[in-house]
Amino acid sequence: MKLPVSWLKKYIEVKLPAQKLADKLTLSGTKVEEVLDSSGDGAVIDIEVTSNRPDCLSVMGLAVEVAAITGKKAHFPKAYSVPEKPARPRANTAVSIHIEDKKGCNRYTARILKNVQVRPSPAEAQRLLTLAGTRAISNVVDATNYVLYECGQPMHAFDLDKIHGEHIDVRRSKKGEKFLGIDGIEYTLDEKTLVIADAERVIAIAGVMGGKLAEVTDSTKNILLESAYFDPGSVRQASKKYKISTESSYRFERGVNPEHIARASKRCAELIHEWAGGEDVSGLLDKNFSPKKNEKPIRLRMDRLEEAIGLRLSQARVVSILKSLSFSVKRSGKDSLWVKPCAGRRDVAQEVDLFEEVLRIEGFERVGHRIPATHYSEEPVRDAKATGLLKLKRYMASIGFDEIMTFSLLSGKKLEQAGFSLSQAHRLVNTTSAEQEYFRPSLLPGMLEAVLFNVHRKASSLKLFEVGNRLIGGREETVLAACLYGAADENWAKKSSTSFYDLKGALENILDRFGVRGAQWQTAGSDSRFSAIADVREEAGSLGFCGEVASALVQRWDIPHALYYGEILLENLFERTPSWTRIRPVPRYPAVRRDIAFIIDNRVSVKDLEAAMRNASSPYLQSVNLFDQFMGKNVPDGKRSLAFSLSYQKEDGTFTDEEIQNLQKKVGDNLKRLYQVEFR
Amino acid sequence: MIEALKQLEAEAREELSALTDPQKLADLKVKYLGRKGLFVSVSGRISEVPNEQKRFAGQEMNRVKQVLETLFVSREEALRSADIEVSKKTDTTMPSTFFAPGNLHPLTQVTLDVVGIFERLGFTLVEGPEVETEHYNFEALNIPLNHPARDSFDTFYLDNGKLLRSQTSTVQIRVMEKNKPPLKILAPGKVFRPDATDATHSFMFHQIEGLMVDEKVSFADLKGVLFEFAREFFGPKTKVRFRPHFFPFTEPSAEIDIFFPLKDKWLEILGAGMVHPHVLKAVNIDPEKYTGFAFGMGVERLAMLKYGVEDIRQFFENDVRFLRQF
Repeated sequence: MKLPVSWLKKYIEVKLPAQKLADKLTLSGTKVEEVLDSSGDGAVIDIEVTSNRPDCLSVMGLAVEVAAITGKKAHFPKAYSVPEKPARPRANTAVSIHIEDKKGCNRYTARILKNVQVRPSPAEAQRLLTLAGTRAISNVVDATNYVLYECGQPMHAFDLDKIHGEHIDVRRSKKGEKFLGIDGIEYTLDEKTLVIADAERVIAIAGVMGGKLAEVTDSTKNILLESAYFDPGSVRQASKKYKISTESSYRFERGVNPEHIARASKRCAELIHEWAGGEDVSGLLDKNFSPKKNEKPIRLRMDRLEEAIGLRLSQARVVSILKSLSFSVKRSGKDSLWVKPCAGRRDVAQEVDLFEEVLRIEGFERVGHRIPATHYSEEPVRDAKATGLLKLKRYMASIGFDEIMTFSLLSGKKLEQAGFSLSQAHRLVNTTSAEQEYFRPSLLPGMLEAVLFNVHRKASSLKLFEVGNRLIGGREETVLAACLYGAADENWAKKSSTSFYDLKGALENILDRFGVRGAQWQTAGSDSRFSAIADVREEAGSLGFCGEVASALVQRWDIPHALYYGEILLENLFERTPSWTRIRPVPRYPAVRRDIAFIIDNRVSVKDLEAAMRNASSPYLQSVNLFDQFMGKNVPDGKRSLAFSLSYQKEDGTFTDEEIQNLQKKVGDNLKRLYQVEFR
Repeated sequence: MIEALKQLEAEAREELSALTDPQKLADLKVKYLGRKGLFVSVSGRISEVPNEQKRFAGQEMNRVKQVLETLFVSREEALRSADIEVSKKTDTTMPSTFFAPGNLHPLTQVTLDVVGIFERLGFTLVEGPEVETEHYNFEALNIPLNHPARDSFDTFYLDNGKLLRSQTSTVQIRVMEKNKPPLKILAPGKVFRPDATDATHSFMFHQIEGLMVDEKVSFADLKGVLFEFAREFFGPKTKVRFRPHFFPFTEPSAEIDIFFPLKDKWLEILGAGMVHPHVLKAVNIDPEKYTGFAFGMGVERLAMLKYGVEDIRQFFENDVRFLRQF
């Protein structure tokens, strides 16, 4: 809302410079965006009006605010304070008005002005309207706009002679009905738009926009002036549906001041008479209106006020603040007040709303600072996941991974490029961009994109992770995604590439931190996106996976080195972090190490070999550690040479040589029996 | 002569300790202990010593000779081991080889900073889902259907009828449904709003929501907590301003600005307010008995102010040359 300071001064004395006034308005809740031409006669204060304060969408409403913060009194044109009795319709002026939809329009007034002369409005009026941000059109149209900016009530002038059948109907449109707007566009209406129609046609979308068919033009002689209350919801629906937002719809959506409807009509008629001549031949046509009963006042308790705002104010001060806002106030003893807000302030409906009014005018800066005590409830809030997520991120960084954040919404194209079918993902129904069409079913597409982005900028080594939510089949789950790419070590002393086993190790470390014991890795079924892939699972189900991204996928993304990607499903892990560690005694006798090396068929997995060794020498074999794998020279095709270091431990003493030899023999025999290994 | 012996000892000690070149050690040994060396020459003067002192002088001669020999041996060893050190010396200027830890995303770092401050003030960390219902995102927060207040909360809808939360205030409701006051919680998370993307707007961003509900919580508590937060986060001299505003779920509502000297203006950093009685009633908390305050802040905005990031899109580009600066 643009507030021309010279317009404001028509109603209230303002001595403050525009910038000072703007600061005061901002600090009392009327947020000023900027002050234009602050020193000149054309000073305009541009205000961001929040949706709860439609009263501030008018110069008069803002004058009330200025009165409250400066202590001056505002004076408004007489038409706004004198109630006008509805006229009895007379034969020669009568237009029949029928409100079919009372819910959509609880009051419709009209007034007939005859023999006006349409021409430009006075220079001063044109100047003020221009400052307020609208275009001057003609004296009649400008008068309606002038009143809209003055008091906030949208008005509409129809050319009376273009209204068919001397009839106005406020009704819902019929499906497919046409409406030609003053913007020259023909709209096809649905079955529920609130419209103004004459005997035959729709001549306006109620509260949103007038139509070409009954538009006031230079040749217009007679006018029907409309001032009404249209239901905010109906106006909003129509405005959204036809994508028309006007100064009028903006105000109706937020609710206009019901007290202004008749009075604004009177004021507008006076302005038209002054600017365009003619005469008011009908008076106020308002026969359908039955005023509502007086609304109940709101009780304000002084002790509750102090408790809520943290500031003690005298009853007299509170009364004076509320009165300065044009609220009516009655004392009820020393402890409370009965308050009725003025008609335009329908946002003030209960006691806390009054607290806010008092506090914002008194000034937020008057309240002191207090640090509240923390009281503990019997069942304190605990959210292991919320704290666990941040700890996990810190841990990931500590083991060398950089954190990335990718968009949770992505295009169908990106999903398909990462090997997903669109049916796996949930679609957004009201998106406006192809880039925001699906909620991610996996963190893989985002990770691939981040890797690609960096590889194309010459990154030779990447260790990335992301923690975020995915959505599959309506289930939202938090997942950790990690990837390794390029060099693991790249310096003068060590050079090595990252491998599947590096990422597997990182994932194992993470699971270990969550207290997951006894998780098993197993080669997973085929997945076209990965050339090697393993699942890690425990009895309760899958925990995650780790794989080498298939070269088909990688080449399409133009990535030169191997890329390893893994995920851990975090959803249920946080709850089980062990909170109580119980220690085991440290062994009192030293462990004995022995190596064992053999050649074995490639198809036998290390996991099975380990099991065979452990089973043979239980319970003394404490650890089995693969320390070498060799394929090539002197090893037949389809076989590999493996070397393990075994560590034996006894709790109640040391081993004799013979005992150790026996254990080694058992291990060897079992390997031979089960897998036909050849010892080296 | 005894004086001369003592002086010889002192001189030898001095010269030896100054010596670093092993080549010259032999020369020095000849100078002191050689057949024509200083020791022999001084010892020759025994004949000049009166008889009654001869015994004592003899003892002194033996002592000094032993001392000198020991000194030379130990110096020789010291020099030899230093020589070995030099031959396998570490060039300490070569680059280090220990692996570097990774970096947390700047938005995570800001979140950790904020969480740290509020945890010390007694707030507990919580979280909630990103896929939400009308109830949690709007109705329970006193934002009725078809109300202009919804304009500030444009929202993505999913094909299953659910929506993506447009603010983290949803978590307030979820916590208050389950837990009774006293409550002091902090909820960071992602939010979504259909919005044209530009340097300051993103359709996905992060918020941190806070809530305190207890008996007799007042606007002074809100001010105290948020004032301390602003000064801890932006520095102890930060100027803070509280300004009335409107949010459907709080009453009175406030926006909090800090004065940013670099830009010479007030910048909004937080929205806040006293929890609206409708919100408390919707979760069966008696607004006559309990009051509270809530606040919300944009993590990207805080990070942009703190680190001087000009374009919000940089946070989601994931360029490691950007990420590794934090």
